[in-house]
Amino acid sequence: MHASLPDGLTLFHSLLNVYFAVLVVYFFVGNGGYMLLMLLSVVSVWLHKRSRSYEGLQLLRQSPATPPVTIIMPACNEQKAIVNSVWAALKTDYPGLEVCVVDDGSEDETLERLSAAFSLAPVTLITRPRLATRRVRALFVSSDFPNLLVISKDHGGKPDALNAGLNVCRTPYFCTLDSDCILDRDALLRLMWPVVHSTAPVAASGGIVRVLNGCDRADGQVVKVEAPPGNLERFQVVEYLRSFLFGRTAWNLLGGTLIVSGAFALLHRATVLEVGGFLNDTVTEDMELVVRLRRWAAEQGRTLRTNFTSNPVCWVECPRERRMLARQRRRWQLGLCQTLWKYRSMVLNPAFGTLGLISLPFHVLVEACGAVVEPLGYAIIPLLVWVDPSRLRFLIPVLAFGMAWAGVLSIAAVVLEEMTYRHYRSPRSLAILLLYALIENIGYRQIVLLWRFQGVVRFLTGNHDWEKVVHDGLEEQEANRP
Amino acid sequence: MAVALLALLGAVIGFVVIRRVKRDCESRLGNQTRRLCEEALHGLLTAEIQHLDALARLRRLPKAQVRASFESILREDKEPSPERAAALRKLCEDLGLVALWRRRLAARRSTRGASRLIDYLYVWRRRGPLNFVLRAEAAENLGIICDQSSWPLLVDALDDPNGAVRSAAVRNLARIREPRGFAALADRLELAARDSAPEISARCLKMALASFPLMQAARLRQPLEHPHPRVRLLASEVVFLMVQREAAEGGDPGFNCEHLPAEVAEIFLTRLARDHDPDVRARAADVVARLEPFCALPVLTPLLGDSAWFVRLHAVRALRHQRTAPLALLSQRLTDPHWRVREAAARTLFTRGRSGVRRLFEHFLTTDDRYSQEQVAEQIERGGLVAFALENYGESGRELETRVVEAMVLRGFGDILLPALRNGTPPEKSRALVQELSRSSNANADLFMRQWVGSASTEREIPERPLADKSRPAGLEPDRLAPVEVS
Repeated sequence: MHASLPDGLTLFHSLLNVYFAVLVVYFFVGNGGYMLLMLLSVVSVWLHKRSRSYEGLQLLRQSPATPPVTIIMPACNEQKAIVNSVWAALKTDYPGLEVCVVDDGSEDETLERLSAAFSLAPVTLITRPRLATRRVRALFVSSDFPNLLVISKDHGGKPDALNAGLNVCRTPYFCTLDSDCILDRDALLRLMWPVVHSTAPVAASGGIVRVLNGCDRADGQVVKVEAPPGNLERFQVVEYLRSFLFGRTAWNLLGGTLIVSGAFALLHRATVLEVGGFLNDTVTEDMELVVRLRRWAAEQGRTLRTNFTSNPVCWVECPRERRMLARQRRRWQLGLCQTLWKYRSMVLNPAFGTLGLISLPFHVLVEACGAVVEPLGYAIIPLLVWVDPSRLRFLIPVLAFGMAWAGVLSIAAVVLEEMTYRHYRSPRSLAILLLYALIENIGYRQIVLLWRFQGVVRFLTGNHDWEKVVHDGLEEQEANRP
Repeated sequence: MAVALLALLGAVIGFVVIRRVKRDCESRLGNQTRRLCEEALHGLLTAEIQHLDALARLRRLPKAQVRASFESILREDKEPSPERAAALRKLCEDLGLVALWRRRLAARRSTRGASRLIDYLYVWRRRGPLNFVLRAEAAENLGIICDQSSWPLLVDALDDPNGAVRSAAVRNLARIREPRGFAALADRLELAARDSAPEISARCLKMALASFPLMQAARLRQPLEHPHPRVRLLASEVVFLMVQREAAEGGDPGFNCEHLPAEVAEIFLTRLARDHDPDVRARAADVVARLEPFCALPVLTPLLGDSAWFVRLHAVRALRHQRTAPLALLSQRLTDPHWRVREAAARTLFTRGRSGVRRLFEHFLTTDDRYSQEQVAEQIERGGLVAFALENYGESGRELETRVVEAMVLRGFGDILLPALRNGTPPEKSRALVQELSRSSNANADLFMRQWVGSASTEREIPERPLADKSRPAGLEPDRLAPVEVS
């Protein structure tokens, strides 16, 4: 057939073949990598789950030696969710807990609702800011909850709000918590557990983030976990399980942790201040901070640990609308590209150990480049068939194999959850999750890839705006709130 | 290959479904056994059945399920009453569970390096008595039932090759509180403080040691006098935490270290408070503050002027426990170069009740130091003293409050008064203040008047409420605030 093609078309055909080879390599590296991560995480998660039988949280709960923690909760236009989230944070089971809500220039009724719910009164506290932030308008304390402080400031974005919280934080550790999140009552104790038991200083400790949609809540807590009603939300449950139970657990085991989710992370205040706090030059300040902390530690020759544990749970409301999900995924991809680009000198640099030699190259190849390679691959397959229809006999099994492999990974995430923490108790929820794990790679994956591709385009074109994801809110019930 | 993968998927899903069904069955059976165990325990506690009857009932149930039920009861019993704990312990002993846990804890493999992997692989053999999960669980169970005679096993477990077992042993020695266990833990302080990769984390060790009674602190004499400052610091932190815990348990704000061994108190007074390491001095201040005033004050006074700001901070905070300490010592620190020390001084003065507040007011009126004025103004606001000062504004015999209110406006702290003036201050007081201020040609007073008139309609309406009532010092309850005397 080649002989009959004109020169230009032969070249095009050759390019298609080369690209197809790249695609196959990407596929094997990506899915092979995930397979290895899966195998590693199975042992780790299982062991961690078993450790609940001897973790001894009671001593941590009662001891005066347990380090106090401030929960810093940035909020911007979160009037629907804020009261329930703050209420849940205040009810967290932790000795010496402070809660600091930072109203980042909300234009809705976030501050008014907080004021009404928690009896806020303005105060003129003297603060000595170590990090530059936008103007702080006012500080409020609650007469009902002496451990609640609310900061009202000009809008400056999430990193700026976190820095404002950090400026008033006095405790050795602080926990960043998104204002649409609900913590399990003992989540903070469990997050502190590895910090207390670690023989090396821990700069960051992260827990698992799970999808709140569809769950029943009472008294600021999740009481029944069910698969959410919407298709988009169900796919996200599977994604979150895969990402947290597999990816993060295995990277933690390998020492290649690149991100501790800012939705729920425990950080060492002095170390974060030393590296300059949260920066707003990327749209994923959490990932940027973790990589910066690790680079700083390596450069200073200091031992600094970042931890991920799979049982402190933070429940987060995931986007229900396609538009919001698109924004979230574009932002995540943009942030990933920005961070990887910013710290490109660390890639393949042996000075940074597993992070430099394995984790960062994997993220560059699979997570960042994958958002370009894979969508283009989907576009090229019809071209390959058009140029040489006989390839169809080869391509269909390859595609089916690819889909099935990816399906195995998604299903394995659900299976791991079922074998260990088993939050989704009802058979219906389990069946739904298995089904959505199976079909995730047909349609949903491609749509998400498209958004990720847009994220890469935004990175390349310099459009680095923060796309705000609006949540529907945790409107509910809370019968026995005082 | 794709077909094989799809078949694998089907097999995985089938496995999950079968496992779910099996687990649900096991869970139902387990719940049933647990209910029977709880009933037997309840019967024992309410004296409805005798111990032997309870034992006979439980022995009729499957052994493995009884063990699992008791382990689950122990894990969920966060703070069992002494009677319940005793009943649980007796049942566990007579059912042979204690012996089983001891056997498991003692069955340690000497796994080092690569052979540690084998230790991990044993996890999959659930019945294997050699895996570390079972050892750690055994340590935990023995600790929860406070099995005193297991302390040597727990001490041995401090050298277990697995970190999880070592941590469990540390925590459960703290639960059992056997004095010889304290000595074993204290022996490891030095390694934890000095080693760059210690086998037991310093925090975990500190937490465990702090759970022991204060009288055990005599065993810390050696680490307290250790030549390495980090060992001394860690040991003094342990003593401080023990003191703090006992004070909190006793609920006595005036707690003094009567249980602190005299030789340890002497080390703090004569050596650690004068240590060349500032961290050790700072921690020593916290402990010394709990001693009798006649010996504590002469030691704390020089620490108030220490060259390290955090030592001064700890000393100022420590004076909260020394109710007889002269107020002048604290008011001097209101002009400290470091703002944290000034803040601590203001707060400590506030906790001293009427006399402390009077000293704060007087300092506010007399000092020219702007930072110091700011600090006192903040304390006046945080302590809920604004409403108190405004209520007494212009009253006879309340000259100090009157002068403080006016000084706050004239010195540019008027915005602190605004919420209280807008909400709840009697109109005649507001009028009197306006009249007084209108006679002044002070720029701050003009600004305050403009703010007062103009802000109410533009600002968000957030009502002023009394703050932090719990932190209000004794004698300053809103309904019976006594006049503050002018000195």
